[in-house]
Amino acid sequence: MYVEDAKILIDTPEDIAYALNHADIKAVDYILYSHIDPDHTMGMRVIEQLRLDWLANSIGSICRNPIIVASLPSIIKDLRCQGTKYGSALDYYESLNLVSSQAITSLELTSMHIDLIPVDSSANVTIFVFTQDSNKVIYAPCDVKPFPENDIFRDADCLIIGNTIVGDVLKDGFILENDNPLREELFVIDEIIELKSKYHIKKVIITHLEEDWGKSYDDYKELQKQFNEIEFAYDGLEINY
Amino acid sequence: MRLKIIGSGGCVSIPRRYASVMFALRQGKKAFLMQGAAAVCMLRMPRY
Repeated sequence: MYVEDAKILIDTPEDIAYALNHADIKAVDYILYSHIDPDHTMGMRVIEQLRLDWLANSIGSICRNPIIVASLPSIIKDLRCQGTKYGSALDYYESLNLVSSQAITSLELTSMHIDLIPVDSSANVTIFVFTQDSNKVIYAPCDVKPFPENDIFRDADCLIIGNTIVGDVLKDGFILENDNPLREELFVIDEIIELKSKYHIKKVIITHLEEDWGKSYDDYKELQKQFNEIEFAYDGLEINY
Repeated sequence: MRLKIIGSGGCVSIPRRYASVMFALRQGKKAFLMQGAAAVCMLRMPRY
């Protein structure tokens, strides 16, 4: 996810450099992390591609516009565990002034306000709430079940949510039985409809789409005709309010 | 407020590329389900 208003990137999966180029994104000023699962963090080296200038560094010139890396305090702490035998990658980037890390629960920018809502008391997973003027967008990318109770979600214009099983018949005809443990971890569409109704959310976009759901782009396009204001994400989808 | 989805795929890298392939398909390419390594190879082919 990229927020154009403030050049905010949320999470760095392994192929984030490819995704940034594919989306023709020119600048990143902030990186916010939702949680530390590898598929959301293992592309952290994109920080080097965004800011590191080895030649300038070799003559003592330091980076003058560090990326703000921000997240909930417990997640920043865990992020420091990502690294190699040489130590923490985040610490290394800070030592070169490529980044400045901040443990936050909200972020006030000139263009918008962002609240970071912990999914549970461990505060290891984040739901982002973007507010600008009278518009509100919720981004809940991963591991957000059970969805927390919080009035801040009420009357949002859009909820972008991951981890939803799409359909009962999945890849290669796999039938998801009622007792399948995935149902504990992931939402099904009916639960998304309930969530949308509970918080009076105008529109839902389902993302983090797994190949295991066994559906093509055309399948998703056809499927979303069945629902009221529930759509499926694709790379390049723009959300404007 | 302007947001852009740049990683709609799932929790391993191939589905993420697969999602990108789906985006390519949306641009008018022939739409069919490509899976796993095939999707990755397709992305690396010049015509895509």
